[in-house]
Parts: sequence; C-alpha cells; structure tokens
Amino acid sequence: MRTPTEQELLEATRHLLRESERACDELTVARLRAARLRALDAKRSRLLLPSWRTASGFAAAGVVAVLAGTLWFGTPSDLPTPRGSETAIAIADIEMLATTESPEFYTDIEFYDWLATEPDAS
Amino acid sequence: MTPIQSTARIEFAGLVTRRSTLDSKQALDRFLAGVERRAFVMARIATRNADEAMDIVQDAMLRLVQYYGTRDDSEWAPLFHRILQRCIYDWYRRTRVRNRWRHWFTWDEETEADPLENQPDPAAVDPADSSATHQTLTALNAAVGHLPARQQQAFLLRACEGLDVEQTARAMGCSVGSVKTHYSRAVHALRERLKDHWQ
Repeated sequence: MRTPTEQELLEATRHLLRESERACDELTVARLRAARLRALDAKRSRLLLPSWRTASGFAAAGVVAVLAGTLWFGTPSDLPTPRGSETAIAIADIEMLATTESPEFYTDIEFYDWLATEPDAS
Repeated sequence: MTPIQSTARIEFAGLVTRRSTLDSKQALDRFLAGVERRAFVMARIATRNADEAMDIVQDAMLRLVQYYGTRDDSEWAPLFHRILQRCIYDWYRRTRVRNRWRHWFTWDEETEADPLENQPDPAAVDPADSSATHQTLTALNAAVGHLPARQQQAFLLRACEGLDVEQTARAMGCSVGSVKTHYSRAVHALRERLKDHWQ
C-alpha cells in the first residue's frame, strides 16, 4: 500500500467514470434519452416566440404612435402645460409601452442571475 | 416585386428558418447525447442517488436548450458544465436545508452523521469482486463521493472533463484562486484516504 500521486488519481478517476458511463443500464439510457427529447421539445415551443414578439412589437409601436399623437395634437392650447412630474410620468409610460422586451426577458434575467451568482464556498 | 414573387420570397424565408431550426435541434440533440451519460455519472457521484442525478441532468439540459440553444455550438460545452455544476450545487444546498429541518424535528443520534452515508451507492462495484483494481476503484469512488461539494466539483471537472483552472473556474462560477484551493484540498484528501487502499 502507498499514497497515490496526483496523476494516478486523475487517471484512475477518468477510468472509473468511463466504466460508470459504460455500465449505465438500459433503463437509465432510456430515461436520459427521454429527458433530452423533452428538453428539445421545450426548445421548439420557445422558438415559436419570435413571431409573437414581432407582433407585440408592432402593436406596442402602434400604441405609442397613437399616444404620442394624442399628446401632441390633443392637448388644448388654453390648458396649462403639464407640470414636470406629470411630464416625466407620461414619458416613462411611453418608454414602457415602447419597450420591445418581452415579459420573458425579465424571467430570463432571473436565470442569468442564478447562473452568475457565486455559490458559497464549502 | 410582384405579389407572387413576394409570397415566394416569404415562403423561402420560412423554409430557411425551419431548416436552420431543424439543423440547430439536431446539433443540440447530438451535443446532449454526447454529454448526458457523463453528466449523469457526475451528478450521481455528487448525489449518490440515481433519481436525483436524473432530475439534475434533465434540468441542466432543459436550461441549456432554453437559454443557450441559439448560441454557437462551440459555446455549449462550457455553458452546459456551468449549468450542471450550478444545478448540483443547488441540490446540495436544498439537501442541507432539508436535513437541517429533519434534524430539528427528529432528534436522534443517527442524524448527527452525514445522511448521505446511509444511502445505497448505485455506482458501487460489487464488494464480492475481490480483484485489486476493483477494490481500488471502489475505494476511489467512495472517497470522491465523500469530498465536500466544491472540492468534488473542482476535482471531477479537472479530472474527467480535462478543464484547465480557468475553465473550471468559469464552470463553477468562482475565482481561479478558489478552484486552486478546492482542487488542492481534494487531491490532498483523496491521497490521505486512499493510501491504505492503493496498490
């Protein structure tokens, strides 16, 4: 008996994992395949999204155009000009309506945050 | 451009999009088929439970496809490692919290020990096999399985995937210095544990 070297440990671990991969039973292989197909099917349903995004982008642009037109032409000249805060709110509303980011974008951000967070050291 | 030409152009664009989607799906399928067993084995070593490992691999595959399926295929491998390691780490964290609660409500001597030690190891080699190589590999398997989570991740990523320190750091989502520390501690612990088993 002796203490293994680092290289021996690495080689033995590689060998162990190769053997474990080969030793996967048929049920495990079938379950892995099913999991893979499920993941790929999930992608297909996600790929349909760009057309909806485009449509919602056009819709948002239309709403913004109407809103901008209403604000520009619809404000009677004899009424007082909106105060600074009201103008800011109106601009913020327009920005929100004009954004082309889908709600999924914000869900995705959670994922990227999750992936980027450094786990605690153990 | 006549309306017919315009329609034909749109249909052609649609066909090209469908074709590239199909190609991308096939490429992803090939990639995942190539890494799924290795990922499963790594997750099983970490969890010592085949069902938990299967859930982790499925989750990692789903996340890769959903969030990075459209990326260049050369990026998939490092991203998949990153997601897989993150999923494994989340599993550790959930298990730790669950065990803490279990410990709180069911106070007995057995909960003092690592509960994972009591789980059957599906990757274990038959103990009846008396060959020296198998004994060594069995000991190695157990020793790697008992490493702390981050040490185990650092060691397996470097040993099995052949990642260098920087790639391992990216996959684990930590600094190069942390990887060096985890890896060095893992090697030290393994050498200590295996000195009585190594032929």
